[in-house]
Amino acid sequence: MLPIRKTLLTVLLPVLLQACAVQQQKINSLADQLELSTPEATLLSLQSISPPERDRAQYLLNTGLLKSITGDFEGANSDLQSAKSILNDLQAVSVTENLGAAMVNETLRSYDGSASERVLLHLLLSINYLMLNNLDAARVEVLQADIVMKELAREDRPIGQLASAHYIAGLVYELGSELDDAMISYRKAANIMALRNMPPPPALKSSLLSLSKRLGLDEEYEKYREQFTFAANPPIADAAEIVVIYWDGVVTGKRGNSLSVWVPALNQAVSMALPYYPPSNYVENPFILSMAGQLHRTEPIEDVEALLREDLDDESAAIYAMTLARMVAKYELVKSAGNQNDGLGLFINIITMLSEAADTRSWNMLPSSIQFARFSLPAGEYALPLPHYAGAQQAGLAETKLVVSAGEKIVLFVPGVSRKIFSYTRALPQNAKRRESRL
Amino acid sequence: MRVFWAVILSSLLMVGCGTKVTRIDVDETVDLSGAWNDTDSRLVAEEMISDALSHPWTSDFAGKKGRAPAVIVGTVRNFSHEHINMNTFVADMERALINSGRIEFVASSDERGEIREERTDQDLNASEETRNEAGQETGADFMLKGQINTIVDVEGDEQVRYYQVDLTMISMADNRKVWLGQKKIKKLVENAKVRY
Repeated sequence: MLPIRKTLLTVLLPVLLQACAVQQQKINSLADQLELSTPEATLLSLQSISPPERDRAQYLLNTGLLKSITGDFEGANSDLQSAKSILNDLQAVSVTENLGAAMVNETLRSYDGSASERVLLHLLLSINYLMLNNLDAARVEVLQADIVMKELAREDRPIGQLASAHYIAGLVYELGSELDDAMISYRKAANIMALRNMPPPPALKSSLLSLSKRLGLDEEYEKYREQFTFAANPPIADAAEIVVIYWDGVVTGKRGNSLSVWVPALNQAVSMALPYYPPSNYVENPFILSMAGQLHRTEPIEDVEALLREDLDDESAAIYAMTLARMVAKYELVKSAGNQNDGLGLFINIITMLSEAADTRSWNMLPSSIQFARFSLPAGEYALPLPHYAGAQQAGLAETKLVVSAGEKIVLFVPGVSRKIFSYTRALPQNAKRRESRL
Repeated sequence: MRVFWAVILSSLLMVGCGTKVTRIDVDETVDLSGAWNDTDSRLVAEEMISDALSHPWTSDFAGKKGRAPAVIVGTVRNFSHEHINMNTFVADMERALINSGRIEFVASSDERGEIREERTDQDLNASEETRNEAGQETGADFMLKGQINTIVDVEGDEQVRYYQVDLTMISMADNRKVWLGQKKIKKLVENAKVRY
């Protein structure tokens, strides 16, 4: 190869990489501003960015999420299903991308999502399908989430095991009157929370209590009653059951730490860049509903901030190994260039330093925590409260009234930053209504 | 040094690869992801309807009533782990049933609404000779209902996907189940471990 071509390629490569890095910085910045801006404005800004093909999945996850929380569930599902398809294809190890990561930097890999992100994708899709009144499709997604969690399951750590995904699965099964499967999912949710030393929220406690009672699992019911120190609420005539799914905050984005040092013994500068999550500034804010003279507040079932740090921690050994391999490869490259010409060696050394970048890509518009509340509500019409983010923008609220009929199960989806509330209503079938009234 | 440039060049070459489209016969089986596909839908529909028509409920009905039974397709629910387009599956079944020539088919509840709307419109706007009267619809004698279930076993990069399709023909007169059909499909899906 002619030296001029080498030089051109060497100069162009970091320029191209820097262009991609700038786009990633823009996306990270949009995610950081999401709480202060609106999802609609963020979506518009995001759509003005053309991501490189290898970042397509991350881009679609974010556009899908923004469309979901603004109420465009059809559009969201289209983006999220495309992202799912890409992520599934990317689970195989790529030879060229690994070589690129070993020679240049980690951002040359296609973005394939962390373990928890892959499960959260199904969780969001199942919520979207519920909001589209398509219970069967929501059920498909909870089954797929279960398969992904089985694929990710390990004995040493609960990587990619999400209590929130199991809780949503239980809810979907319950809405479809598949109570046995619902009970299994609620148990799984409780087990995962116990593994992470998180107390189960009242919504999960009451689901376990009421379902174990309905299914006649007397021993299990007693165990929960003793453990939770309260009993299942008896069914209230002419009341509906409300489940609130609340997304609070915006998860902290990944950052990169770079280090370049001159190593006299090697006679060249050595660089390394590693991703990390900075300390979270998230302050938990429950969604509080004051209805029929009672206060109901959501409580977290999933600490997404912790989940994503857990994922990165799990990936860190592979990241460190690849960083070390890359340092050796770049050292050899600079040494080889320096052997030909001192100036070329210095030039390549600068290029290898410039090309070193941490992979700061993540699904950075996820909520900081996923919270639930579950309670009974007498039939009637209620004014829905505003998420605390709404502030002065109360006019933007999509639904302000909730009409409740007896026997209904209503799922409210409240993405805090969107200042909107969406709902799914499942009327109790007539024969089921008769059965309920006898309980 | 050469390896470095080889990696850069091969990456650039791979970016240049475009989409290739090849037209194939609609009956040709192509399994790409291992998911439920058009071949599964068509074969299951044909086999199950063929099984349904080989049982005596059609001849028993024809013997008693002196005409072919009228069938309606009710709900076929997707309880599988895949987003299966139930419309194509139901259409495949309707086609297999109608083409058998041994039964009559009536429009589903969704289709009926549109037809009744058109009939109402005809009542107002169509000429006497071409107008179709209300109250002349053929009632269904049987309803076909069913569901698709799956069990997926996962181990590493391998999955065993087991599909079970259950269909039931129910007499509208007395809720008798006159035929129960079941078709099972089992697939071993091995996901690629390496890609370029």
